[in-house]
Amino acid sequence: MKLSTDLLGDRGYAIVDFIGFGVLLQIPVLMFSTFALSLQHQQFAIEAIARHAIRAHVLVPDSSNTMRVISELAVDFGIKESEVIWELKCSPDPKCVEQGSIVRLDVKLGGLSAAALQGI
Amino acid sequence: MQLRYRVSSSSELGSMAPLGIGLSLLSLMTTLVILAAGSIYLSERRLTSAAESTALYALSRSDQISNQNLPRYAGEFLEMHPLSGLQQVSLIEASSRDGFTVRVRLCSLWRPIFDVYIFSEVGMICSEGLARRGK
Repeated sequence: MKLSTDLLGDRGYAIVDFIGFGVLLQIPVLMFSTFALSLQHQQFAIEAIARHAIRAHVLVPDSSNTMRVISELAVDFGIKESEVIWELKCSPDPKCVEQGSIVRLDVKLGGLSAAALQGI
Repeated sequence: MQLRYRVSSSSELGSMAPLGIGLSLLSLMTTLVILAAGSIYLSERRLTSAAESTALYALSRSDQISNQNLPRYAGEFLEMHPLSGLQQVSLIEASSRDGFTVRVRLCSLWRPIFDVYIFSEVGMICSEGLARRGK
């Protein structure tokens, strides 16, 4: 089987072109697309988790309730709840109860992170 | 035995290589466009959240809502809490028309994941958030 270096010529074997361009080029493109879109799906998920969880926390300032909301949202997005790391910071009142406090929720999933801010 | 079909139409002559390369490039471009669209949507969602938080803060700081104080409170909030994932956030408007509703409009610079020439002009995204005080 002789490979031709003339790209525009019509001599050669179609099977070589099919394997070369159909498999060797398309499969890496497909793998890259799948990986990138999966990463973006996870980013969308943690953004939504941060947004909804902080609203839940502002309505009911209780960490156990917030944890439950985060777990339920993670399950809804098909993410293992144990992989989601979150941290709640409040200022100036660390208990997040006093009116006028600002709540910040940081959510991390692997190398991805999302933050949401809300005032009480 | 080698079977080769040659038809008279000249459009069917030539190598499959340019078609294969073209298809791969098309697939890659489609993926990049989808990723860029997702990225711009994500940035706009973040900006909307930031605008809503800013409007709530400005509302909570104002005893009497006035258009003179709202931009100052909104700017104070944005300075105190730097927003992650957004670049060059600027406050365009912080105002109230009816004395109850605070409207905050923010704009930010958006960059695609892959800096493609065709997206270089689409750089600014804006969003607004409202907060309303009950009577």
